[in-house]
Amino acid sequence: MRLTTDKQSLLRALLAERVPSVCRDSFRTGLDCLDQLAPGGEFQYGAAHELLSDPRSPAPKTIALLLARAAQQQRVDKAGTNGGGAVVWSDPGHELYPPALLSSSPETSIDLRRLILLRCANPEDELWALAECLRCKGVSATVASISRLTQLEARRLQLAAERGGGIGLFMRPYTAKSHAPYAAATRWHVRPASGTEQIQRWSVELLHGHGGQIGKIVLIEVNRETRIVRASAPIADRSTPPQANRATA
Amino acid sequence: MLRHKPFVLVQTIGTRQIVVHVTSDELPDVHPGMSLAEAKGRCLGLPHFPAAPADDLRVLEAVGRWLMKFSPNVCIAPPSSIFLDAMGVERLFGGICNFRNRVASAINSLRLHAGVAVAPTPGAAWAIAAFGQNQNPVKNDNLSAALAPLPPEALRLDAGTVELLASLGIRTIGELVRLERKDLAVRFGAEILLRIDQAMGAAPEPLVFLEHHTPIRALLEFEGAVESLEVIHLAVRQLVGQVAQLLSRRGLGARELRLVFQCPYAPAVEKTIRLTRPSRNEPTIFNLLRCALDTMPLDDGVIAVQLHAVITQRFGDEQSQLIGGEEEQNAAELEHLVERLRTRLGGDVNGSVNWVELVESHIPERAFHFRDGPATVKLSPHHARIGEFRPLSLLPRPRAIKVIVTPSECLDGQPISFTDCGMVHRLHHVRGPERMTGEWWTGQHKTRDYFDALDTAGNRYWLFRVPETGKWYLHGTFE
Repeated sequence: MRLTTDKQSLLRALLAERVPSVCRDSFRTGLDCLDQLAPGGEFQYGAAHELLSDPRSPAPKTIALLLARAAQQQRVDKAGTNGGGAVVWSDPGHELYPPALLSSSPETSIDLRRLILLRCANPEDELWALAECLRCKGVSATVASISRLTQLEARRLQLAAERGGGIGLFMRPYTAKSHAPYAAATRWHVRPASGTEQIQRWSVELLHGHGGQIGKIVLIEVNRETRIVRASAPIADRSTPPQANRATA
Repeated sequence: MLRHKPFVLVQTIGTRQIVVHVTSDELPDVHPGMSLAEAKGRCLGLPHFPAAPADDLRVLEAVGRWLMKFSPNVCIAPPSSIFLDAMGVERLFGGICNFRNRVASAINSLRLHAGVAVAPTPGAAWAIAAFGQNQNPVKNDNLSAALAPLPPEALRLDAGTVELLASLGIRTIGELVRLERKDLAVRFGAEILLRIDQAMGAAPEPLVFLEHHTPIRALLEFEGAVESLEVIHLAVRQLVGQVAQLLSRRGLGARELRLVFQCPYAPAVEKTIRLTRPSRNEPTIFNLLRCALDTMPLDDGVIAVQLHAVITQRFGDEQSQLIGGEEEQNAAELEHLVERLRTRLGGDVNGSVNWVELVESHIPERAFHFRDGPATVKLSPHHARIGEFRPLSLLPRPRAIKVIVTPSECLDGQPISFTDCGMVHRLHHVRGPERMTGEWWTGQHKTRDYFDALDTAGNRYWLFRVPETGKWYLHGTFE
């Protein structure tokens, strides 16, 4: 009997040791606090992820960049080669400033040779183009800022992502209707948080995501000097005004 | 404008700008090979333009193809010569004199200045066209007499040999051929003998003639106007099949295809699609055309459809894609995606689908430009060390804002709040200034002092002040 328990424990130990599968279907950002919130501790490939923000404040491009970069770096195709695929960034308003993609920290920089800028004249063309990009196996991440999206269109984009195996990252406004049914794998609410002279912070909350830690908040910060990106739980962050915390508690 | 004014073409070699071509003989002081600075010193106000040898070659080939209406055999000899095989074609033009005159007036009608000469050998024709005044066709019996007064460089010798001959006092071909052949070969090498023989007809000079191109196109005409989209799709599919067959017979792939619909009571509707790499794969081309069909106005019916492969490229490695791994398949899929997007959304450079390349400029909005393909060069070290953080969003034009600085009224003060579109942003922290001087050599000489400002809500903005005027602008947001 003793022998079998040994065998069982050995088996358990073997199973616990994660065998790296050749074709992965999820990725991590490497920021543990953020990954823990996501369903299963990982972000799904072949799915749409939505980043919601206050319509009056700027779109959460840094967070989108962080996820797009991680998705591109960890994309493994069947041949086993790592870090493949392009990032398509839909930028109809000519807003994105490409040199910034290189000047910031390594976690949020993208090889410009594998970044495609997409600029469509109208929203219909943009939705069509986004679906085409998501459906393409050569694209790891498709990033877009979408203000209006019907249920049907969202579902279509999600299906396209399932076919292509990349991720769709949609920056959308956070409105009262944002709690209605959705077709994305995860939805995050990103808000700017108070920072310091060197550090810019965002608070990121998981709104929806089956099996994730919904309602929990992490702070993501980018340091201007050291170029380090960190994620932390808000309590551990000492720079937030303590009075404000107590008042709300 | 420049037709009567001499100018020079300049090529950049390393860091030096070298004159490669002078358009006029009126500038005796300026000659090819000298630096641009020297040429400008000798001739004040001399206009110069960058040389484009690749474009020149394309133009030369185009002219050569155009001259095929005179002779089926046309050979282009870069940098600037074209040979026509006149054997047997002079009868069609009423004699060799008429033939020469027709060619000369045709070239004049293109507003090109060219010497035209007819001679029994290519070498002699070139010599007379380049240096001779003789308009009459040269025959075999007066060939050496026609060549004798011309300078030795008419034999297409290299510059060193020509200089040496000039220093020896040999001014004409006549003097040159009177010298002992053996001595010539010892003194100047075998090349000079070959050139003499080629001009005199003693040695053959093989010419490589331009290949004949018949356009690759397929046409389908209907008996009456057709409105059904299914029928049009079927017709296009059939045309794609025909064009693909023509392409594969010649070992070519299409880079640009033009689809033209003839409409009964309206001008023809056409659409051009471009492919990122040559292809003759029927489903690929058809899918692209189907994307294009979606946006074409064909409501009034169609009486004929034509498909034309406008630009083709040699292409033979169809098999390799089958062997290639998943990665290559994904790359191919990406290329198809870009083609599809461009077909539907239109445009290539500065169009809807672009890559980005960084350019060395410290004016922020000029630090990159768009490309229609991924940049091939790696980043220069300058970009590997962009020192400062840059905002992810940049306004297309900086927006004027009102800023309160401390100490107030001080032109070097730090901003403490700003008003943009009626919204007041109080600033918690400000980093800066980061000074960027203007590119005075392009006329944009205003200095900017940039500040990275964090407002109370946690948003970061990129502001700048123009010290010369004291005005403030919002240029971007760190998002």
